[in-house]
Amino acid sequence: MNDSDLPPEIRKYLMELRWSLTTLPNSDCESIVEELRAHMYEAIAQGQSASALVAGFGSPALYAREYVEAYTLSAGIARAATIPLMSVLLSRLTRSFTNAFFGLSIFLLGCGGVALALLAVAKVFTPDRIGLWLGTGVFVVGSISQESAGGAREVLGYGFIPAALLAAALCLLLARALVLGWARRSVQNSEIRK
Amino acid sequence: MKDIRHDDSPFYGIWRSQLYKGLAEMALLALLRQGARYGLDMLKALREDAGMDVSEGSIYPILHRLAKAGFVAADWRHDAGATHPRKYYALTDTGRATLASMEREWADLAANLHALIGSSTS
Repeated sequence: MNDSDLPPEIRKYLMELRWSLTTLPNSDCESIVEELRAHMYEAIAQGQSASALVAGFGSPALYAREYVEAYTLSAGIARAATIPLMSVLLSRLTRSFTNAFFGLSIFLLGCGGVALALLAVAKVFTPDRIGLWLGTGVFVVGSISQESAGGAREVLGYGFIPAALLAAALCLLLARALVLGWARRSVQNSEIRK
Repeated sequence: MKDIRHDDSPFYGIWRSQLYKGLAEMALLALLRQGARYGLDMLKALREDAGMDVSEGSIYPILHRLAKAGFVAADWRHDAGATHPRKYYALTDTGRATLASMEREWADLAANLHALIGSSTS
């Protein structure tokens, strides 16, 4: 099969599709493009117009997205790589309530973890202002001013640092577990249907 | 008052699209029951035999997912008379078993829905 036998519109489409699939392993990318080329070659030979064919497949980037997302999910789960999995989750946030729920939970846990880690560091520099403050009607983790402290007092002292770091690690580990759980769930669902 | 044609409404279009998407996996697996077929051939069968309005671009991602799930196996063949190789898909044993479950589910659902629609329109 020779690409020069295909209309320019289709050659351009296949080229753009290959570009959009570059994150996939080369053999997978070639297999997908090759199958589409075979389809288009035969459809053109049967009299279908190039423009109708291209329109039927949608934009190359959109067509490639499902393959790329599926690969990113599988590879991300295998390597337990949360950043690429998060990128897929972000792109799918608005597709379902479940995705939005997972996304919001992971975001809150991530922010909480980072905030607790920063507080642990800040405790070193401003030990009198940072800590776990308890009092009548007062429960504050972090910084508190003398005016708003009322009768509250800081109860952990420098023990706040390991406690905050432990809590931060737990938040981030839970966020990571949620990302992986969401990805596994998505892969299981997409194996049956999308 | 304007006559609302439901088949022109965006809601109806989305519902119809989702319905076909949901049934496409079962329809593709059913097409492979009698033997291996290639993409364009299956697309034509879905459109012409099953009357399903599926786009060119929807069939291969579904076949890819079915292959990843182990329901179909693919191989390239060069048919006599064809000018280029074709990627054929065949049903695996797992796919055959899943198809049987899907068909039972579909038959039950269709019968129940028929009864529901019949009772609500009579």
